[in-house]
Amino acid sequence: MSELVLEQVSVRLGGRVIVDDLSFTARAGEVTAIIGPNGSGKSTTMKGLSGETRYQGRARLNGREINETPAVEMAGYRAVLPQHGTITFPMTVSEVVSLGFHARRREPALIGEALARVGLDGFGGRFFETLSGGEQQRTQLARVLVQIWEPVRGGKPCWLFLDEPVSSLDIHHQIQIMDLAHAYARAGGGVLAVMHDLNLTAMYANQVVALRGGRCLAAGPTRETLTGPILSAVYGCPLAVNEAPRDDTPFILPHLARSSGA
Amino acid sequence: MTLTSSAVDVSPVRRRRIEGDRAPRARVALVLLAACLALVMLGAVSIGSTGWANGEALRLILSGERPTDNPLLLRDIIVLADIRMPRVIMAALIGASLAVSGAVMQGLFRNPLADPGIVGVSAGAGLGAALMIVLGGGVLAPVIGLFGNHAVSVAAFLGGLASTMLLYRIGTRGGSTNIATMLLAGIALGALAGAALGLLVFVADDRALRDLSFWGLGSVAGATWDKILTAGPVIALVLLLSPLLARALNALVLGEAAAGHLGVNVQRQKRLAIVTVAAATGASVAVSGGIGFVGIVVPHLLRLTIGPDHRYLLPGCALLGAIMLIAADTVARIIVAPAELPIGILTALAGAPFFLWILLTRRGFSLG
Repeated sequence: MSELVLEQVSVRLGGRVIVDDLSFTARAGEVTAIIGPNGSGKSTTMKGLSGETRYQGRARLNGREINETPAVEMAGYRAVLPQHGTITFPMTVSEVVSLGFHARRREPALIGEALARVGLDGFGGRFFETLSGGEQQRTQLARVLVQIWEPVRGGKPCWLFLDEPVSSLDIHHQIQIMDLAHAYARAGGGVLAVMHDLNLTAMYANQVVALRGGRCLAAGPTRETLTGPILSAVYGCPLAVNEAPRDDTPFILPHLARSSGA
Repeated sequence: MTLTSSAVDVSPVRRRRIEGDRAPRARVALVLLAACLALVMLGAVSIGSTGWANGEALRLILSGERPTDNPLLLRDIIVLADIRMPRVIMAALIGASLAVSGAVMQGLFRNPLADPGIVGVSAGAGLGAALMIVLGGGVLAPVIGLFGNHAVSVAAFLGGLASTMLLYRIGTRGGSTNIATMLLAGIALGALAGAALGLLVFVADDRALRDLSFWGLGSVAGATWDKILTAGPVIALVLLLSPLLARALNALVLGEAAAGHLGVNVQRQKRLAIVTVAAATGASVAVSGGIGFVGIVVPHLLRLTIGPDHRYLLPGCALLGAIMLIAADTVARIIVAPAELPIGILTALAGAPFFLWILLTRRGFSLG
């Protein structure tokens, strides 16, 4: 009941099969990452699981078929961070975050809490459109957090669906946000994230689902999935794991900056 | 980092002002606007081409007495009770309905420049009304038989509904609305409705022609208690129902997909919004013709002061729209007294430059 279970899920867009026969299970209490090259169906999978696009097959979240569950019920335990978020009218950061209260009781104090958690303390009165891309993305994340603030509600886990949550963030904020997602999972919630950064995936994901051409090439615990042969096949180029460059090119890893949990 | 602990210490005792929350200001603004509306209504009833009204007349109307011994006072009473009062109430209803339908449409299309007048909804409603005016004596006579006095309003509503749905269908693909397509489609629809209107003028008889041109100028001068009874209930219903849309329109600020994630039944709310806009526009166009720009100017001014939260924006629009149109109508009937200016000219004179100003000052505005 506290799982996300996909059984032979396919998604068609415009007559083309974008996601083909995808099966995997994501458990609450873990971070599950979806990786794969551009156009491999990561975001489309996310769209299917967010109720934006209909899918064939079965996809159950906490035991409920996603296609058949009313939006308002799903919103009680699933929040989605979109890849790109734009806002039409000039709104303050606080006003954007408070949109997260749509399907739940309004608790104004959570606005400040959520902003602090994404590193935007004191930004409440700023106008969203004046923020940088990274600040806007973190504002959206604060909105998503407010929607399902408690990782476990009424004995059921809540789920964060994150579509490239750190794509427009600097390395410091990438770690901060991934720490946050990780903490949410440790507190009993479920996290499903589309990831491009393989180092961050290795650091934070418990499970990895690797897609290529809409099909699942590998799914399983991070250590078993992020291997040279699998990654080379997924991305279509030779990739090595845990191997330093042969020349003196510098390489930078985020591991030292991680604050907790590891 | 723990995520659970902080959910506990959210005590209502410690409630402090939240930075960037404009709701308290919006509530104050609503109270001020309501007070302002009351004053403007009183003023508009009192002033006119016969000068300031006799306070005694106003008092007698409110008490329901009609003195028969004083013909001057009786004239004042008739002017106030049967001409000015319905006119002010009509102006209030029309102004409120235009501003609210503008705000709803802007929220639906996620664009501050969407307005029933600009995107052709008013033209569609106008065509519906004109069809009924011209052909009501002939082909459409059975409809008149069915709806009686309401036939023109019903036709205007259907015209507005058809053009709103067509517009939305054309402008929306794959769940997202393309504003450029929508605005251009609106222009095309408006031109088409204009051409059809021209054809109607061509075939219209003298009586229908007079009705058409009178109606097309855009005016609340013809307001009677009877017309208020026709259009009033529709407009009042729309105004009362519009707050139901507020939370969905707020969520739609993030886009249709994200609104769905927040728990909004997007399709149902969109349909409700479209019907609301069509009903409000249809009802007001039917009784007052084309009065432009109220639907853009009023929501925009309010967003600047109280923010875009539709829970306050929609009632605020109703109040400020009413105030603005009563004020414009009052100016229209005293500025060239004893003649009077069609109010549509006034709102366009003030509104069009304002619209251009929005275009010029809106940062990062793009049609796409």
